[in-house]
Amino acid sequence: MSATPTTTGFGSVEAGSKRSIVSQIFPWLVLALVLAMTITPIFSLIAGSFSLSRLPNEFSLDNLGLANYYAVWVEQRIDRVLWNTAIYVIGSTIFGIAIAVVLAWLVERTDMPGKLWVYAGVPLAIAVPGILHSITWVLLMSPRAGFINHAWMGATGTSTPLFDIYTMGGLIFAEGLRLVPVAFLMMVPLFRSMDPSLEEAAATSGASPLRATRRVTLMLMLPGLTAITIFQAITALENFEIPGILGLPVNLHVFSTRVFNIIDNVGTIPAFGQANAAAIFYLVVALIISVVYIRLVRHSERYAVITGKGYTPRQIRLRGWRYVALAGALLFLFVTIVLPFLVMLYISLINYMRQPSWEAVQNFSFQHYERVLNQPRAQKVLWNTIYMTIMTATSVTILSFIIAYIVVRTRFVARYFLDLLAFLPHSIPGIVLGLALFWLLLQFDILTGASTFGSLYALVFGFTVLFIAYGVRAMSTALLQIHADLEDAAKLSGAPPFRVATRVFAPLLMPTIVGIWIYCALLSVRFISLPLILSQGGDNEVLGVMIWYLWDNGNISSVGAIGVVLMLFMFLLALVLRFVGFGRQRSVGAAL
Amino acid sequence: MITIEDLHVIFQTDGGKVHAVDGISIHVHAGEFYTLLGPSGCGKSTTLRCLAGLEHPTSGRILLDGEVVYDSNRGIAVPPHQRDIAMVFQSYAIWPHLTVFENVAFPLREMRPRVADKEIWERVTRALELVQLSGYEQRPAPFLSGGQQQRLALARAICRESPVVLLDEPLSNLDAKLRVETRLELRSLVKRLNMTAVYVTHDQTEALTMADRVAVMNAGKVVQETPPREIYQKPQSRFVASFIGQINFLDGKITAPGTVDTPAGKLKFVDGKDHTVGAEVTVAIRPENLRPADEVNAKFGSLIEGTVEEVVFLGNTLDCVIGVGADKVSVQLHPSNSISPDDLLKVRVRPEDITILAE
Ligand SMILES: Nc1ncnc2c1ncn2[C@@H]1O[C@H](COP(=O)(O)OP(=O)(O)O)[C@@H](O)[C@H]1O
Ligand SMILES: [Mg+2]
Repeated sequence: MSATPTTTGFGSVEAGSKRSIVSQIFPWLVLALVLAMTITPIFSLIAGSFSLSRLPNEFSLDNLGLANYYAVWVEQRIDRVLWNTAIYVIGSTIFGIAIAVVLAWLVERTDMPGKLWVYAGVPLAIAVPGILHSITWVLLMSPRAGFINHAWMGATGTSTPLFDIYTMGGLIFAEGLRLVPVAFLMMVPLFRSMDPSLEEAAATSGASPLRATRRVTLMLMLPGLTAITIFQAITALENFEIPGILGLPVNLHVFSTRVFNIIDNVGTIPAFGQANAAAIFYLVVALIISVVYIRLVRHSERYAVITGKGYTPRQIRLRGWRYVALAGALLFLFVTIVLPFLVMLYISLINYMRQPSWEAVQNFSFQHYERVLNQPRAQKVLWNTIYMTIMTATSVTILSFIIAYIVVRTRFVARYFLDLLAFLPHSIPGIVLGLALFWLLLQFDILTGASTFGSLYALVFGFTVLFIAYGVRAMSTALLQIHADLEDAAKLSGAPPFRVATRVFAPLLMPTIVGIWIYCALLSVRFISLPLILSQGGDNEVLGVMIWYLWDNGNISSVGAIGVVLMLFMFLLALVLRFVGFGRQRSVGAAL
Repeated sequence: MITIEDLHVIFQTDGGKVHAVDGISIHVHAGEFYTLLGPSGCGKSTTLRCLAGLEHPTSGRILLDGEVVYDSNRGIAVPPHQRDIAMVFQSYAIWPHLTVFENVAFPLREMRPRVADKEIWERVTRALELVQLSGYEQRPAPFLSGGQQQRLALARAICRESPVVLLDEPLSNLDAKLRVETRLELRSLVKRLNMTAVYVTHDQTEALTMADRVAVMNAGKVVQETPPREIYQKPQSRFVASFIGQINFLDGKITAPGTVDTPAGKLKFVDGKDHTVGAEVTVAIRPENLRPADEVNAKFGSLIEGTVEEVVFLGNTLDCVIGVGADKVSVQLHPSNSISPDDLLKVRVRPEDITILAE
């Protein structure tokens, strides 16, 4: 056997060395790509903030200065916006985390009945776009015409409304509720991985169940809880849909709306340079919080491999409170999922804007659906949205796999830098990235003669940058759980890299791949901040933006019809996410 | 069949450079069962992974079947999937999403030109028969016991009929009893298929019972390479002597050719080497080579005597520690001896059972 050449042979020398060159250059190409995706927009944002020309396409090196910073930071008092933002972020985070903790505790550690409803319902709440939430709250709680306020004033005869959603309290309420689902999904594994023997030890030491929970469980969970809280604070800080609908109309500004307001204010000339100066302040605040977050999770959560320990934690008996707890949980689901749907459904079916009544119900008709969906604009927007969503989800998934693979599996010298770089966009607020791309793509088109600005690809690019941090984290968590030997065994079985990817990684990572894909699809439909800035009319208008302008123009029935269709579509995606992607909620939480 | 020349592997880690493999050169003959033995972290797996192409050596040259698969000077690095090598992993690396049959068939399905389905079926069936896993073909691989997974990994390695098989501590995850049974089965299977095997282990018993030749490694270097019996009987360094089996070390000084002076007295030895008179050396003696002095062995060997300090009954042996001057010497006796602490014990050692180490 020694001398006879084998059928496959030991491979040719040339092929061998060529391959190794490709495999050496490839990571650098990926690094360059990620660098280009993250750093160049930021660079153009900074450059633009010094530009004193009125419009981005008039940018010139001769016309630079600090006037924008002076105008925004000093004249317009950015500290007020900072103050508002702080109250809004802290308030909504506390509100959202508190609800999420109670919900997670109820389903994981108590004998509350009907837990399945909560597990099944919460992911659905992720699917409701924020803009539809805000619109729902306005329809219900705007001071005069809000359904609730109207009914209240009618019933009591007073002229003071019960609620006013156009306030800081309204912002905190609306955003707090939006934070709950993801916070809940992140918390469930935290509660689940708690070793019950620690609590039992406290119990045998004479601590009552509640004291054991407080002194042992809570203390042990504190690092994890802190990380989740900061994560949610970043989410709140970056959100635009809530303050955009509830704060912007009454000039109650937080960072995201302030930046938008500078370039999109009726009756004034957009001041792009000033918007950039404000955005840089915004970005720095977000970066600082993100750095705190990275430092917190770097060693703990990131590389913790999930162990499937098969114990059932001791459940606290709620006795008579069981049904009270269930009612509370169901109320949350009703308010965040069912209510918005009912409100959208209602306004889509009535002929003209009127308060809910039996008479209104009798006159329901589907005319708005027919009218809206037959518009060429709506069809175009629908198609744009679907195309953009598919492209975004696919590119994020593929890119995340490549980056995560390099970071987790290779010894590429710059892998930690690549990892950090891929996490960086997590701290770029959507509105800021939108603005940055506005500048970048305009300049890019001027230089190259291409027409990226105003195209759907601008949105795909922007969303890919925004979601890559999420994708890479989810993917590397999953990759870390696949033993490297499984890959090596395939290589030694004669499988070239591409076949290893399709025969070993693809099937083993399928739940994660599907999970990332659908989650990014959901996010890209939900997010309106970035497309709002980048949308230039019909060519790259997407559903979220169309709803925004329909609402802005008071076209409420159309908002309802589109809202209903959108929500049904999103629920469908969320259901697929739950049943196909991710081994239950576990990895979604772990990955966020 | 396999030649490694001056192999170096240096890892860059957060704590600085790690010289995992530090200039290894070995040659494995066709059909040989070659074992790399050493403590954990000494670079065995890294060496094996270089052979497989899974690790990139920093420098050196590797030849398989006369063909260069790695040469740092000429920039040759054949990737693993182009090397005709089978490997059995410590973790078994059974793909959990495939059935038993598909796990074994995997390497055959990757062959180009394609192998016909019928032939795949025949070869997989034969391989599963050889490892006694017939009847499990359609079972999802995760539903096998540890021992069965180990055999499945073996079946996958042999079914592609490559001339070389690499095994990285394949038995270390089995329980003790199964490990003993599998050792010889594994060796005879590899021999029957006429494969060249490189076997990595940190378990001396595995190395001694299975190998044709053992290379003992320490800190990235091969420190001794001989057939198993010689490794045990003629260790060339303190490290090898103490790594394999139990051994007593005594400081000594050569006083005349064939005589060494130690705290336990003057001892006679023969090792066929020239030692300078007056040289400081270490004397190594295995506990089982110290036998109670009686009329039969009075004719040969040197006498050592001391007070018994400790006696441990182990069933098949009686281990005692005797104090000889300031030193302690372990002695392994037959359990029929009745010895208790504070007794005076006289033992004899044959000249050929004494190893002189030049350190
Ligand atoms: N990928 C790696 N990165 C850094 N150091 C490594 C890597 N792989 C192995 N080492 C180090 O190289 C040395 C040898 O490892 P290894 O070959 O696995 O030893 P063993 O003999 O136990 O199989 C160890 O010190 C180990 O920590
Ligand atoms: Mg090892």
